[in-house]
Amino acid sequence: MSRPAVGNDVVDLAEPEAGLALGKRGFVERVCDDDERTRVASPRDLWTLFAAKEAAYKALVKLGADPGFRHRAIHVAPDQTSVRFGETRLSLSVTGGDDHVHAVAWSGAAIPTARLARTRTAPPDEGARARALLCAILADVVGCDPAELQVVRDRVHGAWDGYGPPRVERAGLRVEADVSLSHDGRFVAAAALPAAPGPPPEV
Amino acid sequence: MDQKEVFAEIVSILKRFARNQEALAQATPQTTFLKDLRVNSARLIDIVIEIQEKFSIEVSDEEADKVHSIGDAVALVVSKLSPQ
Repeated sequence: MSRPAVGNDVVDLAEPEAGLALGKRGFVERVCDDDERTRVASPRDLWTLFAAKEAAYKALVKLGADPGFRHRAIHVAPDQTSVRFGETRLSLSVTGGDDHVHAVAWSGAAIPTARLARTRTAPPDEGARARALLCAILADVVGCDPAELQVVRDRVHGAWDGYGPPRVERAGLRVEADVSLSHDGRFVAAAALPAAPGPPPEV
Repeated sequence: MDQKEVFAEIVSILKRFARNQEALAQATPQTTFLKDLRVNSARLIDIVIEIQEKFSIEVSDEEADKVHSIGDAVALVVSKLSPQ
């Protein structure tokens, strides 16, 4: 399972429901396993675990795994540098500030590039902001103008909204990078993990 | 409690969590949580918890995973409320 896949998730800690979750009966138990529960002392602790699991979910699905609604089945390591689902282990990065948490989970040895931005745009344009952020990331990697890049989603029968995960094209050709988008409240986020270079051609 | 009553109770629960209130106002059993109502995954957990409390039932992760629409939720609740 060395194929590069990345997922990212941002949580706006100022969203009203974010502050209430810790006090809701059953929420922590639904999200965290026994070990993780001992690490939850604040809303930030809870949402860090949640964002890590959501980020991992997005990457795992692309690797062919099916975590489904089982948040507890995705275990976040105490040092928050990895997540595990069954036999699959992903690297994890968690960043944030007073008002947000951003988690990125990925497979393989390459390190993804991730960015986060605040937005005041009212829904539903937050998706467009996240896509613009992703194009900016990949434009730096590819060395082109962000306007040359387009985020597309292929139709997939059975997917929750009828479409598969996002990917990026330049002039109609696929950019070889796995990508992930996220938004919550005032924040949009994106991550890109360029495909590992293949073996050198035989001569 | 019949299907119609369960449907109304679930729509009532969803009022706090649906970002697309217009879609909720026109909800049918086919209305989906994620795509139509634009409920995010954290709020989906809230909804499952509220359904459990409202109807005094237990919903496992596996059962919740199969609930994509209001109709799915109604069917699950009705099946759990029906005498075995």
